Amino acid sequence: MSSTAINRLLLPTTLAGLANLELVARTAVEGFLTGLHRSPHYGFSQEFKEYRAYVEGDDPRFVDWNVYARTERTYIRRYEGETNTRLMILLDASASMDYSSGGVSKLQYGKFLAAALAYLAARQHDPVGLIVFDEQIRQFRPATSRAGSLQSMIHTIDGVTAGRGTNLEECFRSFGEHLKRRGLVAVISDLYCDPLKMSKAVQPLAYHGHDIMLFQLLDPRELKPEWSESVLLEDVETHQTLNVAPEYLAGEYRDKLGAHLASLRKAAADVGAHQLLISTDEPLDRALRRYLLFREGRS
Amino acid sequence: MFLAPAFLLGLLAIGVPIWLHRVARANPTQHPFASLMFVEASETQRTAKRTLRYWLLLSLRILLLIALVLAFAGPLLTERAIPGANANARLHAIVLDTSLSMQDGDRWQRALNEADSILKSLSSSDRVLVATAEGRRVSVVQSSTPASTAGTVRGTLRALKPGIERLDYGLAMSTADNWLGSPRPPVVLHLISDLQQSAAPLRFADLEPPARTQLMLHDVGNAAAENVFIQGAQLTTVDTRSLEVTVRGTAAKPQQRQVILAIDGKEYGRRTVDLPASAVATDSVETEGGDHLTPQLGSQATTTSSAKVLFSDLKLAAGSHRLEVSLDPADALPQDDHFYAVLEHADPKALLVAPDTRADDVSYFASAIGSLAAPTLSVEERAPETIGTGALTGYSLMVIADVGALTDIQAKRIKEYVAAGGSVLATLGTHTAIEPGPLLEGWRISEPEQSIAAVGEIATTHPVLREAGDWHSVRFFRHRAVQVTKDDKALITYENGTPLLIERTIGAGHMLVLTAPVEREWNDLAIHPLFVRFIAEAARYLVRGDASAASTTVGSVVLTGLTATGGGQIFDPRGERVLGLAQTAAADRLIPDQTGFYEIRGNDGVRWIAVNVDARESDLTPLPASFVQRWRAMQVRQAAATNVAAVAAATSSADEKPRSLGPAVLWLAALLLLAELLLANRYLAIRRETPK
Repeated sequence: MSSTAINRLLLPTTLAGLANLELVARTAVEGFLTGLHRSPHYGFSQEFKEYRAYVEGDDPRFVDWNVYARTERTYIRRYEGETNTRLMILLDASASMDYSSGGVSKLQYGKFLAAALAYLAARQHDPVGLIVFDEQIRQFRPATSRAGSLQSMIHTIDGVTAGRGTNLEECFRSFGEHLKRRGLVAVISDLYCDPLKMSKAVQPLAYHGHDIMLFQLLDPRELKPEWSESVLLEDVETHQTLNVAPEYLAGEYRDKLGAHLASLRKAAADVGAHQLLISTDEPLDRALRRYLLFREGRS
Repeated sequence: MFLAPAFLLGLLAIGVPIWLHRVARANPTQHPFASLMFVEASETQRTAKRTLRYWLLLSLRILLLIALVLAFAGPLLTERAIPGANANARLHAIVLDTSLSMQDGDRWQRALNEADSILKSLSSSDRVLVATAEGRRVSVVQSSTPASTAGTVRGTLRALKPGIERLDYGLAMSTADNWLGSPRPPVVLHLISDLQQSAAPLRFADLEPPARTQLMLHDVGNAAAENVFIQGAQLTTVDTRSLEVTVRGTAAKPQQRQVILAIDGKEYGRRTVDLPASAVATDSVETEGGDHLTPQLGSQATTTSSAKVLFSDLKLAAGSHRLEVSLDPADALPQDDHFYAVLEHADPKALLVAPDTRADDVSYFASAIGSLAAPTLSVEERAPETIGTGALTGYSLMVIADVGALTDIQAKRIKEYVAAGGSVLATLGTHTAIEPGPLLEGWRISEPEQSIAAVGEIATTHPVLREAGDWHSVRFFRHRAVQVTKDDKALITYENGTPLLIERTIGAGHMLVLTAPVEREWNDLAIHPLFVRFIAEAARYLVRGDASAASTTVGSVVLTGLTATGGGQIFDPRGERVLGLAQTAAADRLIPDQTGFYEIRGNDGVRWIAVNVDARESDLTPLPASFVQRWRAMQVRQAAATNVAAVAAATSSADEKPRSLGPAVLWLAALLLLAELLLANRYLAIRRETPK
């Protein structure tokens, strides 16, 4: 990989060295957008402009008088998607999110991601809200697009610390109370839950018209645990310990995890939600690019 | 056996690593993990491998502890505890006779064949040692080695050759304890020899082999062997211009030989000699005319025959001459068909040194020496101060009337003359001090006593005093007590034990010292009839008029006369230097290993030494069967005694000299510690459980 390519990829460990989360978000998003100009896929914009012949009943405010002066015909200018998308970020701050095998923790990475998404939305003047949860909802910021709300939002994200256990299903049930208006719901979590139960919990939100995006963050060692000797593993949430053989971790564990991920993906698809698996050693801009490309493909 | 058995309690410490390893295995390392949702408790399948690693480390640690404890306890290894020394194992010592007689005919080849057959008969648990016996030494050419390496031993045997020295079986047997080495298993000593009669020792008891040694005699000699050799050549006592050569033989039939005399490398003459059959020993004398005479019957006590050949009227210029006598044709043992001798043929001169040449004693000495018929000496008189310059080597004899009249420098010069082979007859005169100077270094001489004394003991076996006459009738009016060194020999003493005549050896020369001057105030020796005879015998002894005195045998010690101050060089018969550069100043002795003439070049000129093979080695007569039988019987008795000794040794280990294994065990512990460190470091690195 050339040095230019390395500079373009914002490694999580590099971003963790930046003290200001807003700076992290801006670095990630601006750099990423600069990169997009070079891309043949011109992707993220909900604005789409067209001219249409005026028909009776149309609002005369939208008639383009410049065109009428040139052609003596009345056309009106229309914007598609001109309504703002409400983005609600749901950040899991349970103890399992605080796990790290050496680089940044899942929670730290989740904070980077949340800040980047918030910055991206604010750049388009979309209202952004935040819910921090673990076993229950710990913080709630309603979606707003007021000037200065981004800084306060990022400040809130920055102050999030890991809590105790997770109760994803219960939290999703209570999210409905806070998500009255339709919008994009971005869930950032490691999703250690029963896929079926989660599916049931997410379903009401989907039915309510929310566009649900599940960002599943996992540490590289969770994806590929490699030990050469037997180890005693301690659950960071429950503090339960288990003696595990390296052969199990190399074989059966990965199979189970793979099945779990597949189930999650299927459960999400069943309710019209989408799941994106991100390893915490993946550069942030690459993760964002994947997300946006995914969104573009979907649209 | 242990030096400090109490330290063995330290073996209890083995429990510590065992306990530590159990603890370590019960506690695998703990790591945090995000969720145990997909994790189940499981046992590793690498248990066997890990266990093996742990066992290796554990066993290393236990061994290390054991080695340390043993090192402190000091294990001792006794001869009985030496592994592999099974009861049937024997050390077969093959001793090859490499004396001159083994060069006769095919004896040496037969000896090698015999050694080979011995090697073939050995069992695999035996060991074998090869030694050669010749001259005054037994050389181990192949140290004790397993019988399985017989190929190497055969190679060693093939490289051996017989020498030219004489073997004495007594010497080989009496030194066997040393060259066999110790400790050693029971020994079978194979002596491969021609069992020559002349190799038997003077004392039969010297033939006894050492303890726990079985002697096997392998006779490779040939009872019918014939040999003719020159036993010696010397000037006749009657006429110093006639050389008498003795030829001996062991041939069963009469033999005829040409005896060739070469002087200084040129043939001088040849005579024919007829040797009778050796069944009866005879003597025949060749006459001056050169015609040989019929041998006359002689003594029948010996089985060799001998004949003498006379070369008379040798017309030789003054100086030393090399005589080589050889037999033609040569026989199967050609080395003894040559005889070498150095003849000092000169008109001998005597130098009379006296402070006062008109004194009585000077005239007595001059008259006595001048009247000698053999050797004929011309006398030259000089004062001590004149001997500081000019060579002294031209004089066969120096007579010093009073040693005390010499200065230290003069005395040192005379001492050097003696050390180089010169001869001195001296008296202690009135000038002699208490410490008489360098010539008589180490002596202490008291003041003269005015009392009548008489001669006590006389060494009548000494050549000078063989016909001593009646020394007891000589009257001594004055005498003085002399303390001599232990190397000096008192030949005549007074009744009170004080020495009167002393022989002193300095380097290659001799001195005879009379402790009383020949003066009428001291004694009446000068007017006694024995005086002239004594002077004649002393002069004959000191000047050594016979040629054979200047010949020696291979392997004997020869005094070279080279001194530390003078230095010099010795050339062997092939003309090669014998001495290295560092030895030239300190080689006062030489052991010749070749026959022929050795040339000694010193400050005082060139001397020759003739070296011959030992004539006893030429007598190929084998040992009588009765002698060999007695020898074998002796070793059977000895073997029986050995068995008793072996039983005693088995029951008591008091004589066993234990060896300490402590240092070896300590080294082992050090190696184990190193291995443990490496292994433990490797395993601990794995135990940190860093992911790959």
